[in-house]
Amino acid sequence: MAVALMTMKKVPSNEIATASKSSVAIAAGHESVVQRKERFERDAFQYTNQLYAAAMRYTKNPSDAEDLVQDTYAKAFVSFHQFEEGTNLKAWLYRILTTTFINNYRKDQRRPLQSGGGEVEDWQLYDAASHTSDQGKSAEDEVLENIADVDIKQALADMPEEFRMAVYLADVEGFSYKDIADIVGAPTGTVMSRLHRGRKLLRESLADYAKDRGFVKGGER
Amino acid sequence: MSCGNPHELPCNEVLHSLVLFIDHEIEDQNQVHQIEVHFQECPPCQQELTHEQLVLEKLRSLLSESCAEEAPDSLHEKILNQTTHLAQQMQAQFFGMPSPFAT
Repeated sequence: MAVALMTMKKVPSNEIATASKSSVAIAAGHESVVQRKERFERDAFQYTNQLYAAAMRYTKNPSDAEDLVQDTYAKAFVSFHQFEEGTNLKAWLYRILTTTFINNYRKDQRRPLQSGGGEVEDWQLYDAASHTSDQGKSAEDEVLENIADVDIKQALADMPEEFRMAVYLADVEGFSYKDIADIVGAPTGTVMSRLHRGRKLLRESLADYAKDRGFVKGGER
Repeated sequence: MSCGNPHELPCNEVLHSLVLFIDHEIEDQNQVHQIEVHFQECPPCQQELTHEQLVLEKLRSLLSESCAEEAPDSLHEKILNQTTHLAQQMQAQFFGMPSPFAT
């Protein structure tokens, strides 16, 4: 028992009660608590590694990342009756992970969930309004060929949180703009803006790392 | 712009939508088709597309490789135990028994 209590995440007892009541309805139909648990283990457990890697990007430290993922699974299990089977379970779990992070783990709780309207449209100002020089293209290729794992990880970690999340969810997890909007609770236009600005920032800081490490000539990008 | 030929869709419009095109986020298939036609007609835009696609692909694989931490075994175990205990609590409430975890 002591071990069990030590590893348990706090789930409010009213949530357990709600989950339990919902199992009355489910038991009347087709699913008992035991069956629900089996379904949860079968369908949701496969995402632990992915959620942990995402949690590392969010919290930037292994111990908070572990806590965040464990919290996420506790919340997910007690609300699993609300998950609509056949919809995107991975996106559903990421939404719980992200919301839990924003509400309980973020260092600066005062930060607003999203910044104001200014960023919505300016993804259209994305650099590609004119053709890039060939020189700029090959310089960037060289950067990407030579960049170290540790540099790219650091570059991502140093980015503002909203940009980091958008880039990670799109470019590592392959979520659509719409899925990301659901996951982070922001309008799609805002997500586009964050993603495009995030990628741009990432490319810029990788070029800076490359310059510092001396494997590309400075200046041209 | 630089290839000198007139296009039905001007270069700057194509370039503005370049990222959306690469991310497969343009829903209007008509627009997708127009952009594809433009790329066939306009070598500079085609080059821009190829470059952006390559950079993004490279960026994605670099990010995925460097951010592929695996959860420690202890975490998998904790989640398994936690799920079992939550299920027991639900079961206990379902059968109207006081939960041993009740606070």
